[in-house]
Amino acid sequence: MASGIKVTDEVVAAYDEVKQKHKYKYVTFKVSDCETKIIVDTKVESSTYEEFQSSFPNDGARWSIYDFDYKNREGQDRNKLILVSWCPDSVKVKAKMMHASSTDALKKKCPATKVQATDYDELNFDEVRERILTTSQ
Amino acid sequence: MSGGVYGGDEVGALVFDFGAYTTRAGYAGEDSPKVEFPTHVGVVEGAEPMDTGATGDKPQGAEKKVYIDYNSLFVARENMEMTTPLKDGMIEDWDLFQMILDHIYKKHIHSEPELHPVLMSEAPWNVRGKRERLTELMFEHYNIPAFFLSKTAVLSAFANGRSTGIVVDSGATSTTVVPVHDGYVLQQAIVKSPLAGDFITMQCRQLFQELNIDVIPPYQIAAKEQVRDTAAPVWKKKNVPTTTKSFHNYMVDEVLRDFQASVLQLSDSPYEEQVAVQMPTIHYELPNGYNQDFGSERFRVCEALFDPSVVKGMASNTMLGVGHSVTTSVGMCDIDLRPALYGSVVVTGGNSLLSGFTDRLNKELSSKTPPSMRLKMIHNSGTAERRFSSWIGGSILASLGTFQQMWISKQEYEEAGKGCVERKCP
Repeated sequence: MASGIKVTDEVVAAYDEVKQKHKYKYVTFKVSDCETKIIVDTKVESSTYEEFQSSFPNDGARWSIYDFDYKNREGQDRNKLILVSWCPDSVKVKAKMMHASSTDALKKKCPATKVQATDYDELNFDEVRERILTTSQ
Repeated sequence: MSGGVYGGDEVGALVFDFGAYTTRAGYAGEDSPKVEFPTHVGVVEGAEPMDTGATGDKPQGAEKKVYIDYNSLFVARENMEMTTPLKDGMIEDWDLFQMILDHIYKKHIHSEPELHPVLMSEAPWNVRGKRERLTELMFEHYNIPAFFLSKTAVLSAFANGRSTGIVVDSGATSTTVVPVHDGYVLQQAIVKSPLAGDFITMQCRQLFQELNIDVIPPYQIAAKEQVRDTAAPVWKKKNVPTTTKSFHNYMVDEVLRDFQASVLQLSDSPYEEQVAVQMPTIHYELPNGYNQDFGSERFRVCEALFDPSVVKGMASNTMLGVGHSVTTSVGMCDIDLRPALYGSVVVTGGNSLLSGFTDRLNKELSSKTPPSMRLKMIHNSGTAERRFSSWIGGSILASLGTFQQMWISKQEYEEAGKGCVERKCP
């Protein structure tokens, strides 16, 4: 079941710029004000994980594609795309509904390891790494 | 409708949510349902009541009369049996179901069914035959312009901002645990347990029997007097027709449900007599004036929700406590998914409003969650949000402008037949 909210081409292009061209470290998306499509919110060329973590707004739902660098269990460098679904508790129920019911459509166009978060704590680096390690190896 | 973007020339969609205890209905886009009334209906089989029999405006004979909604349902009538169109969350008695729908359209919506698209919630384990029959009924009988069926658990998860999570819905007849992944229910891992609101009501009934207290429902009471604590009640019986057992029981249960909501509390750790007696007591007065303080009983009665072994005289090992249901359900899901499920435990349903329910569940689950995973419980603090979460979810979804393309339109139904519900509303 889905909301029918469209993923725009601009979103897919931004996804490719992170995934293929490594032009940006991360990009964020949101539902447009007209509530009909998902649009690009920000594009950031370089950032540390901590900066990325604290970039999410307290009062709005966002998605983000982040190029996640980590070391695997053998200590080798790896990187993987994560799709963060950010939806803090303080957001209005309508925004929550639009956000959650559109996540699947976005994930289909922008495949990545999904991480759901409602507060900054949930985006803890070690936990995200653990999530990737358990789901991809 | 906030924002005013939706629709324009469209007429508002309707959202129906049939629960085991109450039915919710209202316009999409509103914050709370327009109407909520018991899903139970009163049925009088056989002959018409004497006073209307002579006027001849009703066909004589074995016609049955059905009473719906608080105002007519809560009146004591001879031979009125309480019954429900639902069984295990699915529609069982289609005639009664249709009468309830008629009632909603006529008395609450005050509009023609053919003007409004309808979004209806359904049990996550609803079967294909019933879904198709419902689709057929809505299009053929009510002639609605568009239809959508949506699973309650998905609506609740979405309304809490999650597309993946595990939805713990503790309602009247059952507590269900439903894992949702990317907006789809994982059917094979649904866990249902009868340890829910009605079960606690039954426990309360036993408690009052043990305490030798008669629970008299308000319909039998004409007058009462103030009495001291634990003193024998002084009240006058009202002159009412002899009612059926099912009606009487329902009315007693109504009193017990109030008692449940006002007095009971779950202790935050497994029940212990010594701890419970030290907790503050709560004073409760029954409709007939009898009143007393309730102490450790407050905690003992509902302990069974989490620990079925405390129930006397039941094969309790066959039932799962709420915490156990959650871990069982997660255990049946793919190992890759488990961290995401423990990370979004959505608690909903009227019975979860029992004081201490979420705290206790949180405590039980934290001890059972594997150390590598984070436990996060999501529960709305508002009473309405918790009781109506699936209705509210449906209300928002159906009011989105972009949702227009998701509906099964009448045209689509006419071209593809009732089978299209499986494709359009997975």
